[in-house]
Amino acid sequence: MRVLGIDTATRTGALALLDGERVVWSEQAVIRPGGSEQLPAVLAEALRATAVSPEELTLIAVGVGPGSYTGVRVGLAIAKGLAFGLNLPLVGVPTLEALAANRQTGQLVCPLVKSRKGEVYAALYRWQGAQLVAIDPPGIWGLEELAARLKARGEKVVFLGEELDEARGLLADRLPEQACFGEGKENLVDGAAIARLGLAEWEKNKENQLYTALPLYLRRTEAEVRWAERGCPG
Amino acid sequence: MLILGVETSCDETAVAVVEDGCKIRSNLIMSQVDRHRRFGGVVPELAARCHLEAITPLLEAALREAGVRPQEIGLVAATYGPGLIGGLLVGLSLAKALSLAWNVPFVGVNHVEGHIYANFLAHPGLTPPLLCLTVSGGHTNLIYMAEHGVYQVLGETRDDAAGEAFDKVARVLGLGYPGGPAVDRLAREGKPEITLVQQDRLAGTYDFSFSGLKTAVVNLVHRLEQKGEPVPAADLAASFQGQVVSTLMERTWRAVEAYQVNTLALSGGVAANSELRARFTEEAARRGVNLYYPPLDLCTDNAAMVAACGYFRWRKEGPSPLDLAAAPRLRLT
Ligand SMILES: [Zn+2]
Repeated sequence: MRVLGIDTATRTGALALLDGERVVWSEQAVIRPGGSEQLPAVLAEALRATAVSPEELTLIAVGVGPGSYTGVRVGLAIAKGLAFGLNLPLVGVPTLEALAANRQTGQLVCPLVKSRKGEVYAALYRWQGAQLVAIDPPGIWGLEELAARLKARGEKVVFLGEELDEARGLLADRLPEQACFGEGKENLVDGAAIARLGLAEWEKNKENQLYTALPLYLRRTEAEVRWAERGCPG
Repeated sequence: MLILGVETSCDETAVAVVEDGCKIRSNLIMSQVDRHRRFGGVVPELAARCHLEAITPLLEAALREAGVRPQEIGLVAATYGPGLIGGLLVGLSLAKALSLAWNVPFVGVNHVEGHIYANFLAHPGLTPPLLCLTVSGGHTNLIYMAEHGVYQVLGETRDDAAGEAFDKVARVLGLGYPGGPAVDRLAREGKPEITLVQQDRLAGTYDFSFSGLKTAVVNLVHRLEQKGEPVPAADLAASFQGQVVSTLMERTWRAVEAYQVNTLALSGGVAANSELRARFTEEAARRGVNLYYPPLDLCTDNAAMVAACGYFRWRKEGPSPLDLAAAPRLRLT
């Protein structure tokens, strides 16, 4: 199997090409705001450099967020174009799950993606053997709320993610005995993790998500929220 | 050559297959108007979400309807601006990925230039030089086209696009969204006798301003409502529409004379307005100028025009780079 893994939900975009177990190309680069459209050019370069022609790919795996709405959409649009164009199956992978996969540990893993002020996108995972099991699925958490929930569990938790200065400060303060934080590349989404998780999902369910995969927005648009609150566009 | 066109710059998701830049094989449009109606206008984030949901099924359907297998496509064209960034990125990213997958060239298209090409699709004998007036919810442009790919933008709106002003006037008159067809219908029952704006502050230029006109309608309605007096909605619609068309006429015919063209093309959703068509047709006949406008489904945003325009761009300049950025405020040069 040759699996392409793509994620553009967070500040650092990721692209990787997996040939069986082997990572033959991996790239992580900061995406300038609104600039994820560079990705097809990066991908073209990766295919040239690895001498893999697009027709040799067998599966497209793509991060569906949560994260930057625009970023996730670009990743999905590229993945859908590739999967449709090459007649390949597509599998969506929660970006937070890929982040959690960066640390194999007996402790709880809490991947975080920056959201609005005072809030994060978060999920809670635990490794069972080689399997990441979701305890809390991806959701939006107030930082205090998240700290209180983890405090109640009373276990050590590894937090992973980038751009989290505000969250780190607060979590370290509220969970002095429990919180530890990822280091370096552990905090960045890895395209190879997206590819591996996508492959596992594909082998389990054999469900092509070309038409069904959509971003994990977790929030309605502002306009819809205002409408629901006031019953008018105001 | 078969060209695949993709258009996602505003609130229509569209995919089309065009042969040799002039023959439409399929032209599918998924309008989001029902999703935006209750907000009285296009909500950018909602539009971007709808584009991503709609685009893949539409792509599949466009190829099927054209009776084309993917490997027969020779060029992929997508709008890269102007428009709403979130939507543009969906179509642009998908199109680049398709070009990569099929190993065919990709070309980015200027949406405003695309509107001009709607006329080439509808009227195969049409050739530049010509003057094109594009009026829609998103743009108001008066463009001189010397030859394929060579343009001079003579005038554009300084504030609201014509269609945008129609939407706001429709809203204050309680006509719902989108406003163009509703105002058009109501105007037929009214008399265009209310003076809304005294003077043309852009007189002598080819630029447009519709915000003063729109505000005049809004203020008048509010004043009458406050005094508890009836609002002459039909007369207001007729007066507003009449003055919009008069402004468009004045600029356009002055340009026809100045640039000595005998071909005038109309484009954009507002080009479907009945008064606009009637008055331009009459004046064109009087002056002996050839007037063209596309059928309605090519007037409004569509991907066939993007494919046609992309074909001419590609023939003239070759493919666009795969890292071409979306350009929300792209201008035609
Ligand atoms: Zn348009």
